[in-house]
This record gives sequence, structure tokens and C-alpha cells, in this order.
Amino acid sequence: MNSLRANAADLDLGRVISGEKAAWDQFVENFAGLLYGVVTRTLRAHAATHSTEDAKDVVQDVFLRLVKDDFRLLRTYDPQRASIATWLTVVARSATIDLLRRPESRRDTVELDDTLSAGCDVFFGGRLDLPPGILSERQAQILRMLFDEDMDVTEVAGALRVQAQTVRSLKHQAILKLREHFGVSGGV
Amino acid sequence: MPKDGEAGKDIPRDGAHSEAAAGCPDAMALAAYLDNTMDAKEKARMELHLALCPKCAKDVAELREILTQLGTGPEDASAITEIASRAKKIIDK
Repeated sequence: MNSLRANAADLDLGRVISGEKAAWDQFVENFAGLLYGVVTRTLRAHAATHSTEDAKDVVQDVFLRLVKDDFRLLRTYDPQRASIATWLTVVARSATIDLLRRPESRRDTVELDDTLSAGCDVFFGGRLDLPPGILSERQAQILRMLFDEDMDVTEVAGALRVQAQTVRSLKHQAILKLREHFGVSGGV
Repeated sequence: MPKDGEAGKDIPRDGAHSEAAAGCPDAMALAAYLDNTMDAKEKARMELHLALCPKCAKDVAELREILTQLGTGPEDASAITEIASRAKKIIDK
């Protein structure tokens, strides 16, 4: 990844987004290899068969997504939050899977399993929507204090007049129960 | 400016999966998590989400693997050259 970070250091995204041809060409030079690497690995993992031509087409689609609608997608990148290489990796993998989902691609896919097909029941933003009857009242209360009210473990412990370790333990138990409920296995 | 408006349509929400529910983290949030730049509360929230969302947990696991592999093996230089040549034409002036 070191060479990718060096590529990122040379990058002037403002010039790219302004539509400057030379900046775009440099962006392409810097990241064509990265995108190709991500796309080929994703195709390998999710498609029964794929060719170099398939991978080239998907990478071209990723570049098109980045520039479409006056660089709408590329403008969502925030350099304060992550490296451009990591963000492009996320975008390219998602784009590859999206393309495999298109009807003309589906017969060639091996995975696109229930996990990928499933919608998500658990909100990353917004308030927790805990399934009823799974957690004890205390466990649910602690999760809400931690995640809806943005309290840390010490603050929750103080509010409930219990030890911090008790909060951690109840949180851990709650997550285990929810993982079992949602059918999530393995570590994160 | 960009040519070829046919491909690249149906852009996922901020680079996340198009099929993802509105509650799943977008590409920027996933990248921030993978780069470990989130503050403690944001990270805790993400980890709760990952603990409960199989799709996102799988996404993160695969992304970690891809990020680990990138730059470690030989890539197809001629394919990359061709890709770059084609992509440069998207912006034509």
C-alpha cells in the first residue's frame, strides 16, 4: 500500500473535480492499477467465471461512476476521514458487486448469497431499532445509552450506579444475543 | 467533460451498495473505519452495526483482505495500460 499512498500524495482532487484534463489523466494513472486489483479480486470472489476483458469493463465503469453528474461520487470523498486508496477500494468493490447483480450478469455469479442479497436491519445512523423480546430491559437500556445517547461506558456506569465492567459485560451479552438473533457468526 | 452517459448509471448511494438499506454505512464511513480514523464513539457505533449486520460485516472482512493483498502481487501491466488509456478519454479536453 505504500506506493498507493505515495500516489495519493501527488493527487490534487480539486483540479480533478474541476474537470482539468491533465489532473484527470494523472488521477487515472495513479489509480488504474489499484482499481484493477480491487475489481479482479472481487470478481474472483464473487463470479464463477470472469475474464480480463470483464475486469477492464468494470474498471471503466468505476471511472465513469466517479465522474458522472459532475463528479458527484468523487465529491463525496473526504480526505480528512480516509485515504483515497481505501475509499476507492470500497467504491470499486461495491461497483463490481452492483454490476454482478445486473440481470445480464447474474447467471455467471456464484455467490451473491443471502448475505449479500439481504437488506440490512440494523441502522448505522439514527436510533437503535432493537427487536422486541431479545434483550433484557437492562441490556436494552445500556445499548440505548451507549449508542442513542452517545454516552461512554463510564458515563453509563455512573448514571446507573454500577461498575464500568458491569456495563461492558451487559453490552457484550446484549450484542451476543442480537448476533444470535440476526444470525451473525464469527468475529468482526 | 465526461462522455458516455450509458455506463455508470445507477450509482450507489455514496459508493455503498445500491441494495444496502439506508441504515448501512456509506463508502466514506467504511473507509474511515478501515483506516481507523473514526473517533471512539463513531467506531463503537460502527462496531455495533458490524456485529449485527452480516452484509456489512462481510463487506468489511473482504475489504480488509483486498487491502492486505493490494500491491503484493504482480498485476497485468498491459491490462492496466489499456484501462488507463480508455479511462483518460472519459474527459476529453
